[in-house]
Amino acid sequence: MNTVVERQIEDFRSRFQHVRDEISRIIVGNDDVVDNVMTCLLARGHVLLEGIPGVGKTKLVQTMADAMHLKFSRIQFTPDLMPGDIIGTNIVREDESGHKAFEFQHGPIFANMVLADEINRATPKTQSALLEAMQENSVSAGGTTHALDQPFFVLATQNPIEMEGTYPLPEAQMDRFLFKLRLDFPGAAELNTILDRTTRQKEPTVNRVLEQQQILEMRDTARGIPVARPVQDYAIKIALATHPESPDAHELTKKYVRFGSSPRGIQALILGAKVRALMNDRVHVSCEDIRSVALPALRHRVLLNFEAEAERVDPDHILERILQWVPEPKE
Amino acid sequence: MNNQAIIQDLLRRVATRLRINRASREVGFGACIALFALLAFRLVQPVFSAATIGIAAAAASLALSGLVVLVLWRATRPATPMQAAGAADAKADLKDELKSAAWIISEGDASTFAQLQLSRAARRAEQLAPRTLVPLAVPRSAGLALLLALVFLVTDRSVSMASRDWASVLPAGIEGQAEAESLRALLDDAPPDPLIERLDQALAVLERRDVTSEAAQRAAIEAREAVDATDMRAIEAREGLNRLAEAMKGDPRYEAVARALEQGRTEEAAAMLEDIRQELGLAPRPDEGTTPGDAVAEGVRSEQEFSKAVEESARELGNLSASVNEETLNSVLKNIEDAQKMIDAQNRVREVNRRMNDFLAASSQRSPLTASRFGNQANPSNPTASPQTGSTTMQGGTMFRQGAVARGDDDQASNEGNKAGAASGHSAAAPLEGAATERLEAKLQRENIRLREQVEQDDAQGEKSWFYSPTEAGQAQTAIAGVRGRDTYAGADVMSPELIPMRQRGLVKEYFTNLHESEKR
Repeated sequence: MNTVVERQIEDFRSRFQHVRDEISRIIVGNDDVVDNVMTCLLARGHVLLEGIPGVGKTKLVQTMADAMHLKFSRIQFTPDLMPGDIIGTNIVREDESGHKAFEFQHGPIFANMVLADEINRATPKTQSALLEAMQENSVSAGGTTHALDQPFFVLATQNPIEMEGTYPLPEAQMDRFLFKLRLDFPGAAELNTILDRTTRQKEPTVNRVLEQQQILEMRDTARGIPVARPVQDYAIKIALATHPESPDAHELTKKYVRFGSSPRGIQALILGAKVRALMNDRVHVSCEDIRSVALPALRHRVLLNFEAEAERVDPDHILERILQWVPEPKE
Repeated sequence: MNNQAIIQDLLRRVATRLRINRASREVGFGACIALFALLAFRLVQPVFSAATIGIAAAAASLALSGLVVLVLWRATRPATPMQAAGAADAKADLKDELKSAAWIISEGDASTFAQLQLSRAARRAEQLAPRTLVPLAVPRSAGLALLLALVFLVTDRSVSMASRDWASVLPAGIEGQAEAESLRALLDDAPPDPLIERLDQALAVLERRDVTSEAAQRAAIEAREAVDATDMRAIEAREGLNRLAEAMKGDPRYEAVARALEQGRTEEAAAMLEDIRQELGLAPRPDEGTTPGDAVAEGVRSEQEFSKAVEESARELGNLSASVNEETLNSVLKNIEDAQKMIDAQNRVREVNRRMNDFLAASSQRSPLTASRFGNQANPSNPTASPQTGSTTMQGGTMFRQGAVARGDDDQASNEGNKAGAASGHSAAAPLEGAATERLEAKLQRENIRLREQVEQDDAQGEKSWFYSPTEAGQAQTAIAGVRGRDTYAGADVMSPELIPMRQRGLVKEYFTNLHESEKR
């Protein structure tokens, strides 16, 4: 029995490593972002990517889709985008006998990996259509529910700079994303590598190293990792420390935070930590795993108050202080 | 041994070591608190009375009992397997592997992943040694407790020796009870004397073995006071004898008696007076037949009575130019005998005091914490001439006595070292150096009076004083201060320069200019 599980874990690690290696052939740097995106995919979550234009958000998603042999679709969100443009619509189709019937035309959401580019440019109505599909893993149209093919993984991007003519995601909808990742501007060495790779006659290509079924197996494997109660308590303490009204709240939380993390945030911590444990060849989750996913899992769930906005306080700063402050369980 | 057993065995051993470490830490901590409390208690013990100390000791015992219970409870608490796992994880950087294993065991998780985790943790546990995970260490609190114990021992010894000054040394000293008894024996054959009785009672308290330090200190003070009173009385007696000698000098019949009295040969003087009495054929005194030595049973008169009697005798002796009054001679004889008794009592008491001082000096010098060794030498009972007059080398330093030495006209070489520096001596004080400076306050007061007189005079003449002419605005602002300043200089508003007259300023300046004139010279 143990041998089977051992093999599953070994497979998990080797596949993860293959994907990472393939992606690194195209994507320069941002290894932690790649790891976190993979973590999110294997934890059955969705990712919100934030970064200035041109840092490779779309390229990253395309590369991942190519490496994993998944059906990929891209939706460029614009203010005139309608929900039907995403989920699909019923059209009238006439057959050879002249009989006419409604037929559901699948939208771009019917893919394994969906890139929702600049999600904050669409109207809230359209955003809701996507976010509902993310939550339910199904689409309802014309009275019929259409299940989405698994794995279903949405990577939404948004530009933090151009806020004019945008519809910022409401807090409740932000909560649907397991992780929020930030792509930073690359350094000089990384820029050199990017130029070397992208300005020549032949650009590197990605091999498909992961099948759809293998991803589902990896997801199952990740869910099987046990989490000890003390470690789980540690995750809960971190989440509670983000609540200003909680007795366990950190002093910065009381000063700058309006609302703390939801229970989904704790789920994100545990699920992300499980994948991290497997990546590190462990069958148990440690507090270090919790800490490693705390920032991407909680930064979009900590809602700052006006004072924090005025003082330009970063949620990451508060979370880092909380992580330093909350002690690891002794027993 | 299966995986669970391996893990549990390791955790049990780690828990045992954790418990030992915790127990030693707790015991060390408890010992620190207890020793600190004992130390504080020992330090304040001599300050308070026995009753207060008793109550405090009972309260402290209660608190210490509570502390012992608390420490025992904390020390005997077992370390849980989860605590052991946490300690091992932290020490060996196992990233919560043993903690997860302990939790899986406690929960009885039978999933495949849980079993795999257990097997991995068991493999890891086999490689770990409990002594490296939790080394047994002496806690820092134990070191602190040891230090406190040493401090307590030193303090206890020092406080004991200090509290034995005077009183408690006697029973526990070199000769102990026998010494105290011999001191009292010196007073046994003394004539009835309230001062001797007072000293005897004090010695009786001091010789008791169960005497408390407070009672011993009180008795020691009582003894000192009795000794001082005896000394004072003896001084009075000697002065009385001198007065009698002065009074007798005028009559050639008493010349020899006066000389004997001056030279301190009291018994001889009394015998000579007795001879004179017999030569004159006077009737024997009512207490005839009793020599000064035999007059033990008779009490010693008080200083006041003696002084009054001597005064009367001296006056009457001055009138004895023609005839000898029998009553006067009897009175003089009685006074001489009384003076002799007082001097005898002083000698007796001095002997007791000397022995006690010797005794205390021995114990005081043993303790570096007591200052009584200086006191013993500063007021020696049997002074000897210092080889270097003016400074005496003592234990712990040199006491310079030049400040107290004052040369007198009748200073003699034989007194050198004995009387030099004695505050009660009859040497005149050395004259002050430098020019005499009048007190500034007096000058200002006098100037103020002069000023007031002049203002009144000026007012009468309708003129303003030449040295101070305030403006209208100044008058309006400083009226109250000015009025106050007219009466007393101290009440004036000295912060306003307009209100200080020129002459007063000049006085102040002159005072401080001349203050150190003598030093400049």
